[in-house]
Amino acid sequence: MLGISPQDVDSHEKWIAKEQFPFALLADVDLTVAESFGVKGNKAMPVKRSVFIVDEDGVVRYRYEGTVKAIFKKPKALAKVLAAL
Amino acid sequence: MSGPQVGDAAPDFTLPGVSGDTRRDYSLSEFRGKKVVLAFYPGDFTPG
Repeated sequence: MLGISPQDVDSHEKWIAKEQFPFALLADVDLTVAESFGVKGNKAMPVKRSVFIVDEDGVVRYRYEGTVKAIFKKPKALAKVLAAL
Repeated sequence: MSGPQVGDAAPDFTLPGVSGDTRRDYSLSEFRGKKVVLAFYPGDFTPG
């Protein structure tokens, strides 16, 4: 699991310290990666909340692209997708 | 829709990241042989 957002690593580190996330957060400051995955948002909300599951060979097996305001899918739904791969 | 669809190769990337208090660069390609969940989100300290 990798979280990707436009904030810098300093911001990520603070958020991890606060929430004790057990996964890495990556800094996509110039939105290059969001753009290459087609999930760049607008000025108010630079990235659409989106989830990709990439398999062992680097192939996209699941794609969920939220609208700009959407929240993430329920973790249970994602766990089901992962278990089915 | 732009970007990779189901069945497409995911575009590789390398980004600075942090896990716990350890900082390093992460590349998607280093996870070959494993499944990876990528979660894009707009901002730290936001509910989602």
